[in-house]
Amino acid sequence: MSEPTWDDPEMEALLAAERAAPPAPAAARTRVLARVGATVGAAVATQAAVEGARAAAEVAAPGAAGGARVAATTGRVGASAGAGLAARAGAPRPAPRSWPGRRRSGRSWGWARSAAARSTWRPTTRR
Amino acid sequence: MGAMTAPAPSLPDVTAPPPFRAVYDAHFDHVWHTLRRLGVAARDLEDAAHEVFVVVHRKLRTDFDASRPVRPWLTGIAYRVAADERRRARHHRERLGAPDLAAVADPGPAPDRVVEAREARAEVQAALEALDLEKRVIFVMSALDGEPCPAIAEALGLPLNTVYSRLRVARQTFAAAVRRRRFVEGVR
Repeated sequence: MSEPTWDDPEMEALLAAERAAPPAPAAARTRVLARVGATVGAAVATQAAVEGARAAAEVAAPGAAGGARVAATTGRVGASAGAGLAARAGAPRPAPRSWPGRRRSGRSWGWARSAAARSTWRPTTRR
Repeated sequence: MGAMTAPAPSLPDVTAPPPFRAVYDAHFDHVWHTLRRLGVAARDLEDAAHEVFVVVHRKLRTDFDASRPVRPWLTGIAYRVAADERRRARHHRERLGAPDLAAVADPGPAPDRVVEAREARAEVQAALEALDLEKRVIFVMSALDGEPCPAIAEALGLPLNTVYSRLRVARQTFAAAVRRRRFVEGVR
């Protein structure tokens, strides 16, 4: 099959008028460009936000683990300081949180309380 | 000893896609008129042109072939956008009515010749309404944009012989619509 030819002067005159159509309105040209810019800009911003959220999640995971470690240390320091204050107030020092060897030996925690009462250890206070 | 030669200037990268703004400035009118000729209503032309150029912006970075002409490529995108517009139900009823004369209105002065040209454009627009979109885009690309059939086939992803046969039918339908309309106008 070959490219069809068309020799119709009447139609050709009509089509020539359409080919010479005036340009699109200048205001429409400006408005469409602004809208395309806004749409493309919004898409880029959305993509950046998604990538930012992904990066923040990657950073936050180790950050959360570090935070947990800090909280555990703070808790231990707090417990130690609390024990010192209790001893100073005359109350027996709380037993160590775990002492598996002693526990396995069948000895009660009473030894620890009396040992705490005898102890000269006092928490240092920062002034 | 030979004279020192200046380093050869680096040649522009012909395979790189053109910047979006250059495509927009050079081809906005083409996209606008193509959408209008494909039957997009005057009030929807800005929306449709916006959709076309958002697609153009994306495709310039992803799958633009710099070795091929830009116009048929743009027409192919405009055709798909026009087809989407047409599929939306809210437009279907309007398509059956008279062509939108506002789309071919010329805001300039109106001496006789301008009025004649405006009427001729309205006649073309009315005759284009007689074509279904698949034939209409081929007719517009061939008869108004002057694209050869192989370029049309490539831009629309159609077999070349399909383009030939649709173009032949489209020309007959278009001419028949023009003559029918003139006959009806003459009877009145």
